[in-house]
Amino acid sequence: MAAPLAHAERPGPLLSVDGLCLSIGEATLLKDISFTVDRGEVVGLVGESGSGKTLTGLSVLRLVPPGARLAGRITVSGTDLTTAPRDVLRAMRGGEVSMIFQEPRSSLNPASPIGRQIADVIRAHQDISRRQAAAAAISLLGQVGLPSPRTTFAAYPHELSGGMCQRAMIAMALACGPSLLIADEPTTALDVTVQAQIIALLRSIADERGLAVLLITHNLAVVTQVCDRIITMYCGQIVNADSTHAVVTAPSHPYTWALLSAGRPQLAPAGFEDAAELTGQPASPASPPVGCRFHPRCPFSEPRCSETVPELAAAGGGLTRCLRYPELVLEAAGR
Amino acid sequence: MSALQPNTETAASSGTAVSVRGLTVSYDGQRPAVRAVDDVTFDIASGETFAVIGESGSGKSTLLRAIAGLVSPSGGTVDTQADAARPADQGSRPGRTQIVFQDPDLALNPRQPVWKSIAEPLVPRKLRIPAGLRDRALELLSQVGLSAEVGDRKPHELSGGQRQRVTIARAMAAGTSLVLLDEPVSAQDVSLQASILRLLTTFQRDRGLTYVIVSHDVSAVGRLANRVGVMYAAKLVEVGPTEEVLTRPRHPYTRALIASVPTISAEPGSAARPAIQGEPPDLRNPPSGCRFRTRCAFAIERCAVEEPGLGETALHTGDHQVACHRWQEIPEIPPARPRQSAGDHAIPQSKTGREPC
Repeated sequence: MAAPLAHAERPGPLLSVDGLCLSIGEATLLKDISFTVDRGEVVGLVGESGSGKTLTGLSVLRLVPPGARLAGRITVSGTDLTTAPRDVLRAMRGGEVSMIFQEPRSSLNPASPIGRQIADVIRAHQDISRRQAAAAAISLLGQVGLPSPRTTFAAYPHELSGGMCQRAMIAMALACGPSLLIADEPTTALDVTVQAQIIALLRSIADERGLAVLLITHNLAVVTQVCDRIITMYCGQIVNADSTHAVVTAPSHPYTWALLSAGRPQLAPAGFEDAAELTGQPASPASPPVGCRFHPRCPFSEPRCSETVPELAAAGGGLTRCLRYPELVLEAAGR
Repeated sequence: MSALQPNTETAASSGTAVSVRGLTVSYDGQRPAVRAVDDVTFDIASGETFAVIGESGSGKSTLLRAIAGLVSPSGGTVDTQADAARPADQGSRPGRTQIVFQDPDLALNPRQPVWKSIAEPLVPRKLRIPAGLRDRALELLSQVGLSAEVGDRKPHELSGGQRQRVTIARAMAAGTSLVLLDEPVSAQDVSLQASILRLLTTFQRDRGLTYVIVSHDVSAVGRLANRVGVMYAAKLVEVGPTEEVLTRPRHPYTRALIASVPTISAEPGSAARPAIQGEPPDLRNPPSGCRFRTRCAFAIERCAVEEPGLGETALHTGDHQVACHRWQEIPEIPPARPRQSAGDHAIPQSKTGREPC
């Protein structure tokens, strides 16, 4: 049932998600999600709000809402997280796999100094002294580019800017030497200048440490600058997966194509007539459209798109879920 | 272009909608006092969309609040067309100015059906809601593309995009000609952004509105604004027509800001070199001279001594002003695709920050 893996030929991916389904009550919010992430690879997971990208990230750590039913297999370094007992899961979270979130300030404890929070994470996973943990925390704060690590160590979150808080969160995420970092909209709440610094930092961490990064964002421009591969989700499904170069130069799914067109920054008043854009609201995975889930918003839809359900099938070097893929030539937006 | 151009007829016939002269706003609760807006001067023509861009903490939201009369200036004046006869420090201007706040989740009363929130600007204080007001609110809802059924819901029953539409409907309810928008499309999906911007454009065309938009999202502003002002550390550092400022920025800060806007790139790893390092200065203790000099690759000794003024360095176009001692020496960025590759056009990295071009 599971769709073919994008990089199945490579031996032993670090993260392997196979046939992941998540449902709450009657609603199936994630349907048959399969992908892999290798060591040192930065993979982007993109889509609009409600596409299921955040739920996918949370599912990897089994941080799903109460009452949610998970199916499928998720393995990190060979450990199956879907069936792992609670203590194994607890050791993995913040240890082998860590996660950072959109609003750094609300992820930090406002009543505790930054450094102490990082040291606490280290001591939760490693049997070392308070002093050693503090030294490790100061070193980490320096590694993520905070100008005076010792001052930051003693600072409270409200004394730092949003960008500095996000750097501190990244330091905390790196504290136990994870092999996988899940970053959920890490730059959305930040200024563009700081965003550029943070995505450069994520890229250099991945390169230097061989860390695998799953970057979840709605900002395609950010993804194309930092990711090796891009996975596009729509309405609880993967609709497209390919290398960044292929996605940008020759997108193989109309939804990815539309996101690319809409995500192109405009620096002059150009009129909306010129801008290819995404109309309508995203479909809800709780009551998905019949046939191709994207067909009601797709500028290329045909009658058969509302009848036949497209499979995630090979397209060039990647995968696409589009009935019209063989005939459709999608212009690389604006290049 | 047509839909986005200002209503030139209105602009010509009624002149200046907002005139800001030497505006200074300081928060004295802080020790030492923080000047969030420091000696800012500009005009906004009637029917125009004026955008203020800059990083968090640059003072752009305070500037917007000062125009709305929500904070009192500690120096200078704000005159809006509607209240030219009144002193600027007379507090809020009910019925003259409407503001759309940044976070629609916080801007709506969670315990009221949204139609009541929309009707609020129409109700004189402490009076009962007059009959017929609900119909008026529902009509406004339909103008922002929401059905009457939505009007009876509470804010938490609406999606983020619907809530933003409700706050826009409320801003339009009182029929003011000046509407202030604080980050109207930040943190929204691209598809939602486009529909909100389109909605704002329609209202402006139909009603001849003047917009003042504050945003850190340079690309969203580019779609909507006629003129752009760039703020850095409480100062206005560059102002001019949108296309001029965004495609031929002259201030080193504006250039770095625009170069930081991520672009779609076929080569991963193009993010390797951020256009600007560090963080904006602490306003309790701003740098002497030019406030950007501590992060500027073009800074020279003069920049630390003498504060560059806006307006003294009007460019050839007249309308495009920049507050930089060295703007004439810094090579102009080619107008075509200025930020295609941050690496090519960004300010050169220099550890000392003292290396001239």
